[in-house]
Amino acid sequence: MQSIVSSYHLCLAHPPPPVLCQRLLCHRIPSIRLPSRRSTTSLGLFTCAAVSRESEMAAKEDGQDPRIPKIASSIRVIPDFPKPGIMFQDITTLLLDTEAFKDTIDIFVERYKGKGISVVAGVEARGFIFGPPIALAIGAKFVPMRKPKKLPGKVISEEYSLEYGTDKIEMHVGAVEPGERAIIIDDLIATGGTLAAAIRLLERVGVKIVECACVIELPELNGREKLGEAPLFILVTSDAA
Amino acid sequence: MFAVENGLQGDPRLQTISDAIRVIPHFPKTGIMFQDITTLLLDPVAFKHVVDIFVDRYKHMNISLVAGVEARGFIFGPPIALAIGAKFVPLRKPGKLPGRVISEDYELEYGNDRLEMSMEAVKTHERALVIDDLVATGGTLSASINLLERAGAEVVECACVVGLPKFKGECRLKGKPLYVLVEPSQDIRIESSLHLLRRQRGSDVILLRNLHSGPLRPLSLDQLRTVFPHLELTGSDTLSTGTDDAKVCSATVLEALAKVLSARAREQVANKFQEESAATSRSPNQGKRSAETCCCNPA
Repeated sequence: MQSIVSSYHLCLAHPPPPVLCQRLLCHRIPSIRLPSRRSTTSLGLFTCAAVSRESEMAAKEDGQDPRIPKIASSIRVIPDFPKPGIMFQDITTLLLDTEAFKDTIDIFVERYKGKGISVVAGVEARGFIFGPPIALAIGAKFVPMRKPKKLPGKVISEEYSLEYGTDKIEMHVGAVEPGERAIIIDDLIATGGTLAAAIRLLERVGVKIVECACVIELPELNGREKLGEAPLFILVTSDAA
Repeated sequence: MFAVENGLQGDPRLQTISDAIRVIPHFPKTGIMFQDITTLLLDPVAFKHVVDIFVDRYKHMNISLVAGVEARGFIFGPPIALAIGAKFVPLRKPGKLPGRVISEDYELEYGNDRLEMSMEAVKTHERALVIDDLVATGGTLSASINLLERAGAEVVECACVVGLPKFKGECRLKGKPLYVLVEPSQDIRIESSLHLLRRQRGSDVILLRNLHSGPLRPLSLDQLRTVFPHLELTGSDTLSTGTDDAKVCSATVLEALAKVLSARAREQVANKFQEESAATSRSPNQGKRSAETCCCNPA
């Protein structure tokens, strides 16, 4: 099930907004069995209809961006992909919804324009979809952060932990300069391992991370904790499983 | 068809785009001159030119779907899709897309690969554009066309930033037109050759002979460092002669440089030396330890 939280104000000292309580209530409703290929246009809206109404009212009360519910509902959840137990957050359906995709980019651009950000770093591969439109709109360069051996020329790499074993991400030497201000984009933050590695890579070369930005957060996985001092901005939260 | 053949002859944006693409020799394997578009992405002006040219071409063609091939097609496709009001469909390596997919196998130089597309992506009879950073054999683009057509879309055109010259004129892929902005860049930047030099460190020392015509223009070690910052030259890297010339030499490295530096790059370096030398000659106290330098041409 999905809920909608606007994360413009990330200060943990504030009490959770009313919409968060709605989300918790939603979880206690006996779960409805979903067909294995569910589209959000069918059951998703049905199960969360009550929540949506309340959350829309709450949204207006606490100033939540009215574009967020549509963005959230355009994301498809696929159970048991890539393996059993995982609820996969599929943003390809968001990309098929021209209004939702445009709204997603607009929200990020409005947030980051005119803030002296010269670097938008995007993590392969879905970060490549959201990063470039934002970079172009705010006049920043786009820096791809890739799996090993994909980038030609001289690179620096950073290792990070997986559930079993490790992986690496790489960035070109000379892509960024010390003192530049950067945001890091990915479609989703789960455990935070990839984003944390991206932060380390950029900080190693003297770049200041202004913020990490994702469309979706899976808060139960506590990815936020791995990001150190870097703030996190997200549009939608959802459950990992 | 190339952009220059279709109304953009003399458009300065094309040169800006071409200049922003870096060539990496011998990547991923010996003999391949890799066209690296990441340097274009670091240049917001050049990147915007690419998107603007494609958007101007496609915005009135009633295209409702832009398909981009993983992973560099993901970089160019979405900005175009957003600007023309089309949806973006990622075409991915196997096993990445969730839900129901259709797959298409295609040939590589050695072996096969496979591309997948979500079955929800296409409403029948949509007009589609396929985008990728570069077209070489056309295998990936042909597989993309097949995927879209099997799902009922009509592929209007394939678009790439870089394409081999063989795609000039009316060349088509599976009957579909192809639109390319620039040919592969031939210029090996100094930066590219320098990573070859880095591998030849140690006791190797690089001889740089002056290329441009006219009397030799000696340069100081500091000036050498300005033009070749990656060489990390120190006093121990140089040999001083009675005339205080600093020389850095190695026959094998020279040969490597000769193979990769284009005439244009050599000219750029020569011009830079000329400027530096002029500055030196204006202030006689600088450049006391001068160097005979330039890039290579063993002949």
